[in-house]
Amino acid sequence: MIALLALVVGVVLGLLLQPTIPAGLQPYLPIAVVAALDAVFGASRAVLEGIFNDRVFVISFIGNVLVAALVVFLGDQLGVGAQLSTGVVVVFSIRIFANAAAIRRHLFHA
Amino acid sequence: MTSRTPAEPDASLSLLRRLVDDALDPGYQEATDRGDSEGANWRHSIAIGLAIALTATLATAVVIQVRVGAPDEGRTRAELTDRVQLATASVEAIDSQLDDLNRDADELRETALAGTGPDRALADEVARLQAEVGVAEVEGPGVRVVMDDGPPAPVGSAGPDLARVLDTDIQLVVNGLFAAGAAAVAVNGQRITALSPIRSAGDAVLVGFRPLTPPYTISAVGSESLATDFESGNARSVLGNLEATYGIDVSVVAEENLGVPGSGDLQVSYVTKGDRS
Repeated sequence: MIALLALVVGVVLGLLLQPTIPAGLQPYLPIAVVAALDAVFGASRAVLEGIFNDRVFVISFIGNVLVAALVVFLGDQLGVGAQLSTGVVVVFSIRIFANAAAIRRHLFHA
Repeated sequence: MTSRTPAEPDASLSLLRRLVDDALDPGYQEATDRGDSEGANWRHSIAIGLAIALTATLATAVVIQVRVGAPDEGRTRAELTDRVQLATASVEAIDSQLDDLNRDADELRETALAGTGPDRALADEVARLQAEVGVAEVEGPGVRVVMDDGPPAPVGSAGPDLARVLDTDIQLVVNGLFAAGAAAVAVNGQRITALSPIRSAGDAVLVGFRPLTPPYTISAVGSESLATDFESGNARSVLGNLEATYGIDVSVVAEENLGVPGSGDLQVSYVTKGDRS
């Protein structure tokens, strides 16, 4: 319930504020969003399994986002930014899928 | 993690399996095992809510950015054009600097060889060779050949547009002029030296690696009889054929006094520094 509300609030905020992303950050933000999504899915699954811990969550959320952006930044400097972005996205999307499947099992027992 | 038996059938997939097995951050389990997870329930909800809101805001921002950025191809094109023009301007600036330096070098040589006797002979030899290799400007009687594309083929007609001046046509005229005894030839102000290629890249004709646009003006300096020699040569009859068959626009005009610019860039390819004792 709160999650859904937060989702709506976030989208509305994004639409209303339309924050302009600095040109320097533009390549990293999509990756950061995917990393953040991974942390959120992991947290939702942890809640359903009854092992959620807000400290772990905040640290994994911020850590995920920063490390993902850093890895892509490093890749850009090394000239393999596109490939590393692909790698990061693949890893995170596999995790998101696995966590989403676990959440689905918890919610629908199927 | 699972215990590793030697005959694990999907050992090669261990990376993927780890990814799926560890999809849930192991930190949660560890925190629970330590007994840290006995927090109030509302704190959990607020943390997740804030994170979801933040993520959604960022995602929305990115989506907006991507959508606004999409029709920007025109702007990218303009930026590229600007950069090309900037680079071309800087090349031109360096070129003119090179010309200045070459002129300085010429002046220095002239003062060095200003004397009489052997110096004078050497200076004459340098001047003669410079005209011959195409570095120095040459003036004198000559002929001016202007070639232009004929009327374009009607829209919708099949096949390539044949009424166009090709690199081979310009080669034909340049070779014909040299065969008629031309001492110096330039195409649209580009002096032809022994190292000037005349070729095409796509639709453009390149002379000395510079793209030229029609009409192509080929000026040649030679003897008084250059124009008549060229007119009676083999190249002129082929040119007349091109004119008649494909509609290419050709004019040949004899000039009493014509200037052909020097190529300016004399590149040293094989000289090495000698030891001067």
